[in-house]
Amino acid sequence: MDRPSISVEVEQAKQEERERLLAPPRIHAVALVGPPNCGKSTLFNRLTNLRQKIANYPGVTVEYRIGKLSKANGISLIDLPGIRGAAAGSEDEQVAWGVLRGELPGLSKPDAILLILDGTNLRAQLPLASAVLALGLRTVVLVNMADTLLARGGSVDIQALQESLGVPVALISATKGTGLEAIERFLTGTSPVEPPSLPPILQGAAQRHSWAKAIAARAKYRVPKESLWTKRLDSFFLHPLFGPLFLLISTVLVFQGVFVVGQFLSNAIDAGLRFAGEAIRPEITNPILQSLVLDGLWKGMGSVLVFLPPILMLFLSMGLMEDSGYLARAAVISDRTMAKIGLNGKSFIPLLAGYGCAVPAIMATRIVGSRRDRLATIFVIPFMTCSARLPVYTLLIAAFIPARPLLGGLVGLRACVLLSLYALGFFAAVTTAKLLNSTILERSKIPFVLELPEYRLPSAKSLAMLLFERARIFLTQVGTVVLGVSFVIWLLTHLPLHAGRMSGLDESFLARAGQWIEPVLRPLGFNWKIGVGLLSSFVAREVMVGTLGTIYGADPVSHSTGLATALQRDLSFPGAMALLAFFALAMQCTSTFATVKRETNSWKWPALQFVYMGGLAYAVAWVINQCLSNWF
Amino acid sequence: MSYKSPKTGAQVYEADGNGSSRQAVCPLCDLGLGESGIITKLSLQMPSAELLENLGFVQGAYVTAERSAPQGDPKIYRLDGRLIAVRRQDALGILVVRGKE
Repeated sequence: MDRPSISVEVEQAKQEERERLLAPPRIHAVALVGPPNCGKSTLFNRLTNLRQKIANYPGVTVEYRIGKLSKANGISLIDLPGIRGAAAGSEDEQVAWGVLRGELPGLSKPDAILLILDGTNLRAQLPLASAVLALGLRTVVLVNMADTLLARGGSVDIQALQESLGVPVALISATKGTGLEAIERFLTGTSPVEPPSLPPILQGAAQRHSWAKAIAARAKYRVPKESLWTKRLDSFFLHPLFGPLFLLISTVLVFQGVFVVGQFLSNAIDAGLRFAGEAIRPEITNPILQSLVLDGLWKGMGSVLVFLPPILMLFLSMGLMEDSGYLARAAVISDRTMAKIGLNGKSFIPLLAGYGCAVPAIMATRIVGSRRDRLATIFVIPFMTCSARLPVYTLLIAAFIPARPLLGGLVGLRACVLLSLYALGFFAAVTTAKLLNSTILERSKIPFVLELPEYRLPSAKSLAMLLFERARIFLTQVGTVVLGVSFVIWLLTHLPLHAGRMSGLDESFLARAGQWIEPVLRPLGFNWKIGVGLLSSFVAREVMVGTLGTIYGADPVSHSTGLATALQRDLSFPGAMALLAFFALAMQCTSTFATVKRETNSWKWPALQFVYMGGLAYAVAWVINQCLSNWF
Repeated sequence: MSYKSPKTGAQVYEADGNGSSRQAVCPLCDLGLGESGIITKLSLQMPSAELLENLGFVQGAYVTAERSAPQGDPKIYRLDGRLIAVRRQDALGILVVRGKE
């Protein structure tokens, strides 16, 4: 057999080694970097073809998306939060720079960077390029929105830009999907590899901006004409009169939509779960197991699932507002008012959403931006009168407030009491926000600066992605906590065992706890039965109505009367008013607690909030009961 | 060559010694709607300065006051082709010379 000589083999190996050294190392992880509103998310969705998930950075509240590239196998793409410049302002930006410098524990430094810039604003965004290129990582610069740039009479010489930046540059359109071959070439290493020439080290924003100006001039960048549509729409949406009016009407419509349609879907889910539960009931023969699975866990899960439709509806509305560019205008309009209580315009929508349900509202604080303002907003949201308080309010008002017309029949006394409860919650929120400013949360020194993006048609695909991810996160994170709590509550209402049988409610641990805390509740005018109701209401406020129904249903005295009549016998008028105030102020909602824990990534915040709101509720209820008892 | 900053009360000094141009220098927030100016000086505290500079509020930049919120504050400025809303209290530290680019 004719075999090649050893020296030939050695030569071959040497040659291969030389090629290996000369070829760029294979890319495993790529980071997608760019300023906010540059089309980053659209590009991410396109490149990963929806194979992606949302993850949390360890120790911070910032989220990132990670996906697998659909065209270049084995390469993962990380979507970093939007960054504006070299200085890390918000928590989001700090995290983004941390990842790029490889300083974030648990995440390795990316091998390469896709830097995406908005082509219609190239001169303003080039300073970011100088900071990113200075990292020395393999980078391709993607000048996005090529279609809009050209359509509005702008232009840029890509070849010249590539030469001045020293890295590959491509003109793309993420929405249309054009020019993306350049990314593939870059990632698979088939594009010509030039030695990366580092840009001059630039100190300070002013230097970076003059560098950007020079680069833009060398690339013969012509600024496109401003969008006529944006100008037209702004003169309506930011009109001194029509602007606020439209904001008001659209918000009312959004909430009507969220809570009418959401309520309808919630009821449908509730009915469906109930039906399924009853269908399973005969299958489980063991009575204890039947009670645990159906009355404990199944009901507990149901109480979470019914939150899903309003949450998704709210996220859909907010997504539409954000993606179309209207949200920024809404923030500008409401900023003046929000500033008075130490928040900024971006907190307006989440606060308003709190009137429906605190859970989606707290999730919606993601749009607020600054961590300080976000925490403050999260802290006051549960004071907004959510829909879960209404069943309790209506029950107590119907039982204790006579239906008397006021102001010549214009409004009823009952409506006035209901309205004053809304006002109480609002007042508590405003006072707390102001209090936060002067105590634990220092008034932020970071200015309120908001870029108003051009109006755009939102894409159905990214909205669908948003809803899907939000639903998944909500169900897994909040669902597990609520399921655990339902299990504990079920145990407390059914234990101890008496001769192998479960206890009735009045001899359960929960009843004992109610009797045990009675001395604490007595000054508020509540007896142990109300106490048990209150304890159960910490799962969710409306549970109180059901619990009281069970307690009074088991009581032979009140067995045949309605719940309202039974309450009138057991609760004094001052006590009832104190109870209403307690419900207006206390944080009685496990889902809210779990959501705050998740969104702030700490136990400290929900615990602090729980103690603060509970303390305030107790104090106000005490004052009301004492004052009214003395007057009547 | 100096005047008191309305916000901080600190004395702000002008770089150019030309007294006649003084009247044209004003804080950014004093630009009327539709008026333009060129930024001559930034006297801001650190976090504000960095954020605003990153957005392009740097010496020599050309700014137009485009609109204002219904209650007059914040104002929306056009800078390098973008619309940026800045509160009055933050715009006080940005000094501009009125005039066209």
